[in-house]
Amino acid sequence: MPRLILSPRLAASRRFTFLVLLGGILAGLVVSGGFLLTQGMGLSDLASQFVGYTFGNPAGLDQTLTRSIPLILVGLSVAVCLKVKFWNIGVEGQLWAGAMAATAVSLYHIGPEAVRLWVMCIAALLGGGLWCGVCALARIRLRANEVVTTLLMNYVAYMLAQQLLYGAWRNPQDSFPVSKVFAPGETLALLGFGHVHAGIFFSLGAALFCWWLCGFARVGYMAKAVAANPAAARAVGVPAGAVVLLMATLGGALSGLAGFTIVCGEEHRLTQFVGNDFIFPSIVIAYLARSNPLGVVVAAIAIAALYTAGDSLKAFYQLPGATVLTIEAILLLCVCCAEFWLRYQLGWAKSTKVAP
Amino acid sequence: MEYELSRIQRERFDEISKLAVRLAEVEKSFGPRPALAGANFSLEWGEVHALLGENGAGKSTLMNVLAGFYTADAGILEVDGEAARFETPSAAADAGIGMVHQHFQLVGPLSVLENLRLACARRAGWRSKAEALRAMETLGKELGFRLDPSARVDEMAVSDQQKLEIMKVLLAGARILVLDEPTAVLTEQEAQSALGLARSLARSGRAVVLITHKLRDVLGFSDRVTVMRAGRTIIDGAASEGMTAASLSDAMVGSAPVLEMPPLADGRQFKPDMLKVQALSVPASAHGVALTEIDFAVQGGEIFGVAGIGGNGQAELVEALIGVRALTSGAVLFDGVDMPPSPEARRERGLRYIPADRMGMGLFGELPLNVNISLPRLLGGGAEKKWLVTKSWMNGLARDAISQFEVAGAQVDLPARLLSGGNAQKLMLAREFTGGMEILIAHSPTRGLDIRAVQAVQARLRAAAASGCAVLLISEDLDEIMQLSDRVAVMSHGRMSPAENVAAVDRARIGRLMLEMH
Repeated sequence: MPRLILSPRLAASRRFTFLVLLGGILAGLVVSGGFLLTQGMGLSDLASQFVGYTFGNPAGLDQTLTRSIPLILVGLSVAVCLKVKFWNIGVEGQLWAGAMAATAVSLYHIGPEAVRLWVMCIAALLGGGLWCGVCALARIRLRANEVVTTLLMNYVAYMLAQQLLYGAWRNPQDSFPVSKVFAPGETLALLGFGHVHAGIFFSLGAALFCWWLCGFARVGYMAKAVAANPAAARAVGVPAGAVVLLMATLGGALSGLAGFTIVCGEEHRLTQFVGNDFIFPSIVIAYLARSNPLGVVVAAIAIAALYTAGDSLKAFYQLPGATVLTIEAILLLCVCCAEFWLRYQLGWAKSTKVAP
Repeated sequence: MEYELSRIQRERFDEISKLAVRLAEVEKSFGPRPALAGANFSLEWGEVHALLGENGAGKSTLMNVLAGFYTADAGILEVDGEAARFETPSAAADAGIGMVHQHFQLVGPLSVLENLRLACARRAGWRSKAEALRAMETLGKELGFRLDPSARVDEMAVSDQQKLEIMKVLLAGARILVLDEPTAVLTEQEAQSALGLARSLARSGRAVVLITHKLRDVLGFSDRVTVMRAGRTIIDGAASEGMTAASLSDAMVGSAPVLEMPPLADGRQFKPDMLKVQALSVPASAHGVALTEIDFAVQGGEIFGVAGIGGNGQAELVEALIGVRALTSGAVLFDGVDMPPSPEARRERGLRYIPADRMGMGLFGELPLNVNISLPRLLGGGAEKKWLVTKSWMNGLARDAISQFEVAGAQVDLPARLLSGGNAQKLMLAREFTGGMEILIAHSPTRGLDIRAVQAVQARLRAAAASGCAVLLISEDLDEIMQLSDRVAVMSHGRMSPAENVAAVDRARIGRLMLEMH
């Protein structure tokens, strides 16, 4: 009698890996759809909200693309760090650090006015890089677990921003806890499509850079080696500590850049809300993209679309904001579960001859 | 007229002829790769049965089928004359089959007794610590050794851990024992006593399978021998007596040509003090040995052999030489100049390293062969590719390495972990032997390899020396040291004896140095 047997899979091809990922996402979408149906939505509403509004409508598309700009960057941030198995749970802190650094350049008029925007950009990169680099250094030198340190650095950055917004940087005109509005030369230009601003070039450029770095640069291969076997990497002469520090600092800088695109492209000043709700989506995006920088772009746009749809769910169906979070979690869980098939395979046992 | 057996005679005859295990026409594939292609094996009660074969011949796979770790795709399995099929190791254990794996399956931080209770309490029916202790003491008496029940397992010698593993399977009720390369991890003396133990287990009526690729184990300690090659049985249970090393190795490697050792030229030019170590001291790490005042020098063009029982500071010495372990005092000189401290700088100066633990310190198991091969060429100031590392460049390097070093069953995008031991070592050599090698440190380079791979690796070491490289060979295999080295020193308790010419040394004295030097 034929029997099904489960056995370990020795190696999975790239194509199969991609199919498994796709299957996981599809399963997640089906389960999420079922979840929304139980929340009182009809099937036709699902189609119109998710596909129609998000992609078929200029306002929805505008919102999705604008939101995807920082999401791409924080997704890249987590993905780049994951290349050296450095779990960056601190994209919000790094984003706050970048936003504060850029704002400081504007408030204190640092650098010539003609290149002020670029100085702000570099300041944001440095701020974010520093915020994550410190955690990498703590891991290399003191063996401090980066999950804990990057997580806690989120609060440090947030509290620092609050301190500044309620103190030195408080808007002198109306005393609201927001900074002064940036001068016109200190903001990213709109591209003539709703709120979409020039920050999208920074995001796409960063994705291309990371794609080159991970797939074609020496350091990308060193990172692979450090992630696969740190002891062997050191023995063969890879400067393992420096590679981890470099990748983590770069990851932090990307989150800092996300802060720059928000304050210079969307808010045009530092507000209390620039760095909220990025940690969980950044991890989901990096995971869905399997840490592939170009995949991050696709995943970030998809997650941004989910937020757009979530906004209309909030407005028209009175569903709470947590709905979107729930759907993200369902997607992540389904993809994780699907990865079981990368390690195991199901097959028919060949018939066994039994001794006479 | 037909000869009739009486009922009693017939029962007696059945009992005698009952085999402990019969495996026939067993097939097993992992993915598209057949590991067993019709293997046969029979085991009688009361014998030590050696199962011999090269790496990847299917010995361990066949025994894993017997012990329930794998299920066969096809074939017959009988235990004690009854058809059987084990879906799980625990089903096999219920039938009295116990396997001692090469990598012990013990819980390090727990004590000896805790490990035994954890593994056997249910099967042996112990209800208290005292009962377990009694059972352990009784078995210890039968086997003729005693382990401290309260000793922490990760602090015990490897040979004691092995004894504990054997106790574990016996106390769980095993009457058929499979020992997977029991002597691979042991020193000469320990190996003798482990093999003696296997014999006494067989004499007590149990059946013992000895998986090995050492001819010595077969000729000296087994009753019968089965030889496997490429998933098939070549010699099916012949009496070991009368077998010769030549007949066994022929069966093992088949008609394929065996690599000849190229003789080293007599007129070799030695370049003095290419690698010089002066009064090197290193503090002890958590479970390691401290190195004290180590002095030696390796000439270019020679193989300098360091003999010694594993765990006497060899790993620490190697780590200090490649630059991943800091020295407290002393110096490492390369051609009279202080070695730079970092591993990457040392590598650039021509230092190459073959680690004892290939997958741990050498290769990247999850990464494909092309990345494994190209990585060192991407490091340091002399990197061959600076800004654009292409797949085609890496594939070219990998293809060259695969053909030059005869890595069998390899494709450029295969993860390194899927290579067998011998082929992984060839990949390792291919990577280390490129780009200006001047000093080669080889730590147990042939451990766990089959005959042909051993010869290939040894030939490469000799070729390296012949080309003027300074080769430091650290090995626990004294035969290998004596066969390959020009000069020999012995490591013991973190110290090194003065070097001597290999022609002038006497094995017995080396053996004493290994054990006694303090």
